[in-house]
Amino acid sequence: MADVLTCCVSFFSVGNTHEDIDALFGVIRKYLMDKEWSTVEEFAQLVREALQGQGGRVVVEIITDALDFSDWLKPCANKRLALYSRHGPDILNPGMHVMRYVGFKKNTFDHI
Amino acid sequence: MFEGVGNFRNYDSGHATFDIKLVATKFHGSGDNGLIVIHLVANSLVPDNANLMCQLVSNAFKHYSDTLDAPTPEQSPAAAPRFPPEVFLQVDGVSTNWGLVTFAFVCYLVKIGVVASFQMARNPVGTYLH
Repeated sequence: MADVLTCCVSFFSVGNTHEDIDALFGVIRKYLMDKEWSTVEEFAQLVREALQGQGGRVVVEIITDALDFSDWLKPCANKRLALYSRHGPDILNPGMHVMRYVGFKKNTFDHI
Repeated sequence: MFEGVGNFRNYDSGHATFDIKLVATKFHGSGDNGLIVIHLVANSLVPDNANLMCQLVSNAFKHYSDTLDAPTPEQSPAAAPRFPPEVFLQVDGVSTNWGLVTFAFVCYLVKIGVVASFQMARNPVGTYLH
């Protein structure tokens, strides 16, 4: 595995979020308007029904806990690990900001 | 007899309820190869932070890998279905630590070879105020 990674964090312009996922939530909301449910499982089933016919497969899961990723990745999650960084407006897209980290120091993930 | 009484649209009774937040992950694909994962997050049990973000990314990848068909005996390992080599992630307004934990997690996915490249894009905090 090469020691050098290239990862890019870029900022989208205002209003870009009105895309596929927002449309999906609109479909779910419309389907639920005249429905009733008593449990989370019933609600999950209704969401599955709402998304039938949207193309592709649908998975609905209930999240009641999360692992402590912050503690696990704490040694990696700081900007000093990046050998090179750039933050500023994108030349080609003036409305977009780009933050780029190129090349992580060796042994970045050795603690894992 | 009293079924439906008090069931008014846009009316909040103020009673304690099981608060749920919907988060969705979409894997684009042609035909029926796409995948939509709806995460119903129990707000009262799971704080909205980087841990949740990484958990949802991890779960979504797990569900996606479950949809990939296992290679048949006739297929060579190289021809077997696999993760797309490039992944693009769009994240809205991570206020904590500029999303560095999430960024470290996606870097880890690249490092261990799950995907070859991973681009993460995020909107700055306050986007919705414009």
